[in-house]
Amino acid sequence: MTLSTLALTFYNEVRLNLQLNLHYRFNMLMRLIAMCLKFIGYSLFLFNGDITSPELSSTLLGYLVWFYAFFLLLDMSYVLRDEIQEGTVEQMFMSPMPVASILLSRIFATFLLITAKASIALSILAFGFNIPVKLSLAGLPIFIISIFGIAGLGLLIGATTLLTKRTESLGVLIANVILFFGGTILPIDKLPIWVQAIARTLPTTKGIIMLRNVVINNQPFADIIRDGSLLGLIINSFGYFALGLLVFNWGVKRIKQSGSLGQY
Amino acid sequence: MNNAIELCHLKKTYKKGSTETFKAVDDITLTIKQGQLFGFLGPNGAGKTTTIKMICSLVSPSSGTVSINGFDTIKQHGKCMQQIGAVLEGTRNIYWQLSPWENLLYFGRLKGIHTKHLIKRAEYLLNEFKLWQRKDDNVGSFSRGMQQKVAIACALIADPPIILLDEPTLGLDVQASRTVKRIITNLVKNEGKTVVLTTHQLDVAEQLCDRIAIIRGGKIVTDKPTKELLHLFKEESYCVSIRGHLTQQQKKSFTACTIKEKEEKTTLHCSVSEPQQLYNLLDTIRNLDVPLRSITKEKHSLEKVFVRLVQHKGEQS
Repeated sequence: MTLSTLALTFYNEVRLNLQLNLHYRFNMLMRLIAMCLKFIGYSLFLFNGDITSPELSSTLLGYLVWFYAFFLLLDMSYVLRDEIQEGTVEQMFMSPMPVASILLSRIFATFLLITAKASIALSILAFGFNIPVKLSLAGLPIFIISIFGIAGLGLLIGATTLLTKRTESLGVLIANVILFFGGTILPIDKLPIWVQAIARTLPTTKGIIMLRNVVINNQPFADIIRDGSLLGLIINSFGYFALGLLVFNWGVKRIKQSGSLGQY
Repeated sequence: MNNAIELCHLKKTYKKGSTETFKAVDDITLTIKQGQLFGFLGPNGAGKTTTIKMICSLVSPSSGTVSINGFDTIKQHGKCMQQIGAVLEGTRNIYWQLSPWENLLYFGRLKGIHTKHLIKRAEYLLNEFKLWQRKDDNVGSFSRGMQQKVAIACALIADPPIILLDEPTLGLDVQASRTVKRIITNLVKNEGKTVVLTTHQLDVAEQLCDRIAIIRGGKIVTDKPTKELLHLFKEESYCVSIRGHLTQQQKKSFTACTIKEKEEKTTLHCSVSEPQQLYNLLDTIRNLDVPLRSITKEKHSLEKVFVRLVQHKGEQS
């Protein structure tokens, strides 16, 4: 597989994702509004009704990472299920390109569109509700590495959807675990010790902590390289990514053996 | 002529529960020549779709090999997938939320073809299939026949030499079915493509296919050129129409015929394997003095051959 065909596949999936999202734009908009309201609700609860507290930008940063994970997991459950139902997934399997590369292109295409959705959501929160938004380019490498961990989760959900057809509940379950126990809303040091141990293994936790340190607390990037936390994040994220790829390829083999790809 | 598809001792066994197994395809060996319009027939659950899916590499064989234009589907998956385009049964195959144009470009790129090379082919297919006027409308708003035309066009976008069509005329009205049949014929006659067709509509197979294989219980029951298959059971068949009904005594004289009574008319379907039997039949009619309305020679039909073959093998097994 050449770089040019990989680029073509990615472009193809970006276009498809955009076309399908535009087709269901009303649903997409409603979901975006629901996500904003959810954040405002949590913030009102956490900050005693003061949604303009400067501390909120730290929570928002965690929520932003979760936003990516949530939309991706949802996409891998619902969209792939629809494709199985409609028979387009079989056409995907009949491509000369490896299925995993098509799904990965789809995952990264989804990330691109989630970025557009996140920009709209952040604008609503910042301009509509005066919520303090703090972002910086220094956090971008950390964010990109974290994305690979989330992509690994996406592949896991993709494999499960191929095998079991309906995985919305699993998607929502994982998203909720990340939301409540992954340091998204509550800093993990406020969680019980044993929960902290689990939380640190989640694909987003390390990324969220480091993003907060670099973007909100202005920690120099060199520090996270020196103290080994960046390496820890890389190992965690690419570990999830490799696991996702392994499980997905196993799932593809399994579904071809059982002959149940098109069955719903 | 080279082989487009070669199936060699192909088997597929599915697990049914924790201990039981089910043989969907049981040792099929078959070659389909390039440029052939090959019909794959069989009753429900005979193994047609599993075989087609193994050709498409959507189902892994339990044993045996499938090669497409010389490429092995397992070892050379990418090369194989460049050789085929498929429309599978019971599914949409395309995105109904998108237009024919968007679908064609998407599936073309999915086959690894860059957009600039796709434009001309997409324009050609849309014109050829008379979809150009509606190229920008959502496929979801189309009739079933038009949707099927878009699905076939998408299977053809990469101009593959082999097309697999699983029940392509299922659920289509007469007009749409005729259009799809015309498209299939053109693919073979004008473009030299190899087409593998599965269908339950035996008249469709009879009209279109140059060669037909009948599958039952995962095994090939017969595999012959269509003309040869139609003459598989050598006896001629005659339809004798009589005014009124036959008495029980008279019926005993026509044991070799199937008797159907309807209102004031009786029809006898009689098989005749040699000319003398026909004379005997006419003598019997004359001797019994039954009021003859007409006697016509029945055409060979694939349906009769199919039913006899499938029943015969069913009884054997």
